[in-house]
Amino acid sequence: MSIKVENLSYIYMKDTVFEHKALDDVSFEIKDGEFLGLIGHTGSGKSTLIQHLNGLMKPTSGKVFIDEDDINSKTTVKKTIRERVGLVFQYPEHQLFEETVFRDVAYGPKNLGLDDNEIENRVRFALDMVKLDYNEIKDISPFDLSGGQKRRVAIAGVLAMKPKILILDEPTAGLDPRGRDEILGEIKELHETHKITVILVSHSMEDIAKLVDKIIVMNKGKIVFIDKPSVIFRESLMLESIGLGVPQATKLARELKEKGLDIGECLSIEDAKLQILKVLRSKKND
Amino acid sequence: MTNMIKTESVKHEYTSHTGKSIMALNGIDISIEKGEFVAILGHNGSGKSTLAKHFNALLLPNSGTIMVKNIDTKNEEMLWEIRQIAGMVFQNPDNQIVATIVEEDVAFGPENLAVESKEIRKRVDEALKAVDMYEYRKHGPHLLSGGQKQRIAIAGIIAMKPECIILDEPTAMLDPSGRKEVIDTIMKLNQEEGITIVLITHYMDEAVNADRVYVMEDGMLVMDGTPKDVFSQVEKMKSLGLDVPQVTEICHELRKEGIKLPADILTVEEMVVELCRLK
Repeated sequence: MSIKVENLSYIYMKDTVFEHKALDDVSFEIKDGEFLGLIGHTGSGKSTLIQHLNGLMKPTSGKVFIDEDDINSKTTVKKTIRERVGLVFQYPEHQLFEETVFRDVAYGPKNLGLDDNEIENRVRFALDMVKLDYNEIKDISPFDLSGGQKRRVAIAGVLAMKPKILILDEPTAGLDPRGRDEILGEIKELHETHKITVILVSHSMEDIAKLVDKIIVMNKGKIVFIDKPSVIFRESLMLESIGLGVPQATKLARELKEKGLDIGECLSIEDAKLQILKVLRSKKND
Repeated sequence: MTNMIKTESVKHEYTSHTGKSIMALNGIDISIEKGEFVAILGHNGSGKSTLAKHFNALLLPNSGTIMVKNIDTKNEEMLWEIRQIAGMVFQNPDNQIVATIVEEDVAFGPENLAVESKEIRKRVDEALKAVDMYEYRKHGPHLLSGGQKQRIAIAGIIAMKPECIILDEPTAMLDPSGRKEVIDTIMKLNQEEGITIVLITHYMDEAVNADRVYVMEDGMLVMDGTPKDVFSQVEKMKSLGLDVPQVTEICHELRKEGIKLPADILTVEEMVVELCRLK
């Protein structure tokens, strides 16, 4: 078990006229090494939920466990939780602050009290994971980098903590298609080679469909669905009714089926290509 | 046809933090007709935003000219006219809202143009109706969703009675329904009010609705044409670090396998029609 959430509720501004239930009795479990997608429209509770997973927010009621440890119990040291659960916020490059890339990425490990040697190893590892050249970039000011590079440095700062669980809140927002594909590729590699548990918050159904093993769909502070992408994206009408959508390939397959051409379920361009070819070629051989 | 925006050999050079000189725009010739819906694509750093900021004199060229409705943007005396004709909406809704009540925010522009108060009232109401946010006129903007805030920002521009709206990645920070709200609003303003639209975006499906698409690379315009012309060149778009709509790519892959489909399919509906024809 990696993460377990039990009956988690959170109320903003409790006992005032502004009282608002952001999380409403949320329960789920994520196993070690899973790659999970978290989707839901703005205000559905995604960000509130992920901030509970490393103890940045305290539940109004309910419990959060990371590897059996109740993170809000008095005996759990918060620092050890934040070391295990790395959280990359939206537009993380806004949080860069040091004079050089090295110092920015080293900030977290330094606060863990590691020795200089280990800190350097961590920085090298983290920059390597986000495909930045250590020697080329370490002495540059992070503010002189391009938008995509800044974001990578910011993500490296979290990776340098060597988290077991990595949570990313819309890591590709505002990036161009190439920048987006590069960052997602790096996250995927991290998950595959280092067996890190990943939670990806995204508004892009295409990206979610391509990457994750399991999806949590949130609406109005509740979990409405947890399942495999192929099952979730079958519910296109329900997803649209809560302000979400399905990948274009999935929509294509659905509309073809309505017109009597059943190519099966599709989540990606590759799926659609292969399944359409199969159907068209088998018709030809009839 | 009358020109809304016309540029001639526009160059813009600036110096980075490190003292390196960068040619952000390197000879741009573009002419946008009145009533047109134009999309500008290009990867980060290709010069899109720099170009957009030239369209309403937020930036001036080092050489070359930009005419907004036949007014040279270098003419300082005409600055207010230019900004009134061509309004701009930016990426982050939170950076564009100045007032604590929605209708006061929308009134900010016309107030600065010294429009009389009765007329302001009328314009604010009309602008809020045009973006379908009239019922929120008494709300605090901070309580709205991202899509709603962007529509308020657009209403603030509309209240200035512009002829052209330039939008620099207006949906980058929005969720799918917020994106749809904003794009539907833009399309409506273009089709019903005849407002010229210049949309800068990374979402290829938003550019599909445009009359014309321009692609930028290294400060130059490297492709232009109808969405069908541009997106059917899948390999070239990819080499520029851009995407095409998913169905266009599926179509491209199937064509490579010898399936007889037109190259310029952009929507799910077209693809369904073509595939059903083959079955």
